[in-house]
Amino acid sequence: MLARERFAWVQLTALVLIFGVYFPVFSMMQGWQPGPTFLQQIGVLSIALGLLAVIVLVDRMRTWFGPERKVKPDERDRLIEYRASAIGYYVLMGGVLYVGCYLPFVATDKWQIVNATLFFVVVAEVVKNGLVVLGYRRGFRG
Amino acid sequence: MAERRLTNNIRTLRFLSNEMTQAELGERVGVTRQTIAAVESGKYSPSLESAFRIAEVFGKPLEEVFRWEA
Repeated sequence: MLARERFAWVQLTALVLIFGVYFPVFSMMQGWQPGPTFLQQIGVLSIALGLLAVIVLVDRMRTWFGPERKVKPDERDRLIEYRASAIGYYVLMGGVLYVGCYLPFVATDKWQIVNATLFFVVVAEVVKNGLVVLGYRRGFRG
Repeated sequence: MAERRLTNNIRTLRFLSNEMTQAELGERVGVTRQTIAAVESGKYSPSLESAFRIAEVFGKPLEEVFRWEA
């Protein structure tokens, strides 16, 4: 498996696992009586982002310092990356429009905007990495 | 227009070229071994430039390496 494909798998798995836990936990915290403090909320967010950063960095370092560093992306790698990024970009744009143009008028809490932004970034990255994996597994034609 | 698929003889040509490995062919063409494997299995259609390079490695014209599936 190429380093680029492995990296997409790692990122995809990490995003799904970490944010698959983060969003339900954050939503559960809103039901606390009294509500969660700012520090508790920022703490949960920091743990999620910190975990993701560590996982991504460790995998990147394997590529930077391993024998894979010599393997440069070829035309197929670039095509897969380009197509996946283009579709991920549209997902992100949809999220930006929702968060920037609609949510500020209806949000009852600042954290709603923070989490909606995070949600769309995660969805865009999941779509992008999912398409990279699919591109390597099933292939791209044309 | 009806959709047609490209097919190729790379596996046969590698065999006839002293069992040239995918990695070796990839190196001579300037792509990774995985890309050669994807081209061979029909999962990826190479760029025109790579297609000509592959044909050049085997010393064959392009149409002897790649053709439309019957």
